[in-house]
Amino acid sequence: MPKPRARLAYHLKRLSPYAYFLPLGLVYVSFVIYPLLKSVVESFYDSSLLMGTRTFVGIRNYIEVIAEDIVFRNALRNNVIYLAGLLCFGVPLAVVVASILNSERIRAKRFFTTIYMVPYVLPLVGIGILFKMVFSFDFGIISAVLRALGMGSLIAPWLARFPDAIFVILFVTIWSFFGGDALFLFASMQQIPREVLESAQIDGARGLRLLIRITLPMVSEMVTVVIGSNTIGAFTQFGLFYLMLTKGPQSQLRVASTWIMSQAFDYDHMGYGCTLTVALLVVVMVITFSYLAIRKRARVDA
Amino acid sequence: MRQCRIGFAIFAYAFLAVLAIMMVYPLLWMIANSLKTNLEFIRYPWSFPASPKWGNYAVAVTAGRIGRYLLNSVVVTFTSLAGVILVSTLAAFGMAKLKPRGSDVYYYFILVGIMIPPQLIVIPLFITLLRTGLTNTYLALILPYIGLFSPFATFLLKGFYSVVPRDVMDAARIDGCTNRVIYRRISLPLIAPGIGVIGILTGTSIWNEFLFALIFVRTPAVRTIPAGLVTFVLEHQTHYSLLFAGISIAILPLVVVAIAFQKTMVRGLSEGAVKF
Repeated sequence: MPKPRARLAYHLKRLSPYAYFLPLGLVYVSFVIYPLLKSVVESFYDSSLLMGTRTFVGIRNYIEVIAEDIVFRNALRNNVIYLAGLLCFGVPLAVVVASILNSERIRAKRFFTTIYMVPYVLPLVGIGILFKMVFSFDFGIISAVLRALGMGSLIAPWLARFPDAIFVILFVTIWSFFGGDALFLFASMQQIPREVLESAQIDGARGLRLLIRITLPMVSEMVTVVIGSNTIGAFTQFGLFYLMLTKGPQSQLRVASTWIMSQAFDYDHMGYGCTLTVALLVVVMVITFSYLAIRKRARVDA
Repeated sequence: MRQCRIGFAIFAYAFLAVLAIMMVYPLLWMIANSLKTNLEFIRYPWSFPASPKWGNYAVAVTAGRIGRYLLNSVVVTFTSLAGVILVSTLAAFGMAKLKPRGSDVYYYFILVGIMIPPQLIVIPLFITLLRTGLTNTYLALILPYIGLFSPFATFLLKGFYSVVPRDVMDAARIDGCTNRVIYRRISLPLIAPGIGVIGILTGTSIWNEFLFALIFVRTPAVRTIPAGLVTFVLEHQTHYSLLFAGISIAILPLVVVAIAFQKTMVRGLSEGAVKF
């Protein structure tokens, strides 16, 4: 009898587009959403992997994060310093370079962009270890240069001292990520029709003014992406800090992510590690959404 | 005015050149030092190597196990990348072309995934992998990588798909093609630049991924390059020239990628409707 089979075929056909969503959905839910939810659940527990215990402690973990954990607070402070550095130096640098490259009078664009891309594609591990050597007290490049310039007194174990270490890592971060940011901005700027820039130049806008008033607004979406990714990166950067900071219980030099990993895997406080993770997520989201809100308001005014 | 322009050009080129040197010099320093003996490096960290000691590289690859780590990275990266491309092209095709009801909700659902940094899910993922006995296998990395990087890939591909005109698909439908054929024979070739962008972008991210690689895999047999370098450094702490050799092997092949990256990104961003 054709009828039941036809109905089945009909329903299958109507559902078939959803089949395209299935693989992504499966992987995404299993390996991203589920762990994320589990993280939130775990944050209310006090668990140890070694001893296999898991006790429900309710809000205790969160109270500890907010009220008692000084190390985490210091770590966040370090993240903020790091963020400020990235936004004040890294992003503007990328913007400036992108706009210089975008200018007609510069040739060899491909040459420069390729060179700038090299650090971007290198694994942070290699970079971290390399620069640990570069900034090394005894035989690093920097020490040698300072000695040659007669500024030997400036040499110090930077990677072990409080503000210095963060600045060093800031430098290394910009070194490796600046190329990518600049490339993305440059590619977006290349999309701007020449006529727009030319007519603005005829109207008298040059140099900095052209950049701020015309070019940047036209690539504002990419600028937001760059700023956004730098912001999220500032709070979640793990590799460079883990590799370059000298280990030890100094609470001054911790960053949010290294402290979380330390709590979870070195101290075996799995549940507390999840609590810290959630707290970090909240911080990142607050900052990101504030930034988006400010942007929206600025847009409306303009 | 003319002088102003020449001045700008000179300043700009100088600036760009200085940056370029700063990008490249540390790498050259590292390569040069990797060809010295350890003693030579400690005494003269700044000179050119007296006579290149290629032996350092041989040791790094064999006894230092860098060769094995490279192999593992290749396996993990290629498999994960294949998975990501498969999963995300299917989903993006469905979202952009087929558009069944609820695609928008699904799209935003996936978009959330882009903003989730790996740290947030490391701990529970580790516990799950431990419990299912998957730690220290290739799958321990491949599966999470596919899950982690597919959302962004899907997002990019949706942009590329949406530029493909409807008429092509409609014509194919009239000719009797099923969705599956349209997906495979028609849409895929048309978004080839998009797949190129994903390949490079996601590929390098996976290759360089550090956190999962460090925590989910602890045995040298399965370890990938990022974690492998850390172990390598721990094992040969003071043999600096050997260290430099190891790092050089691990990261220099990527220089080729830099060239491809630059090319693909500029082309891909201009050809696709990539709206950020």
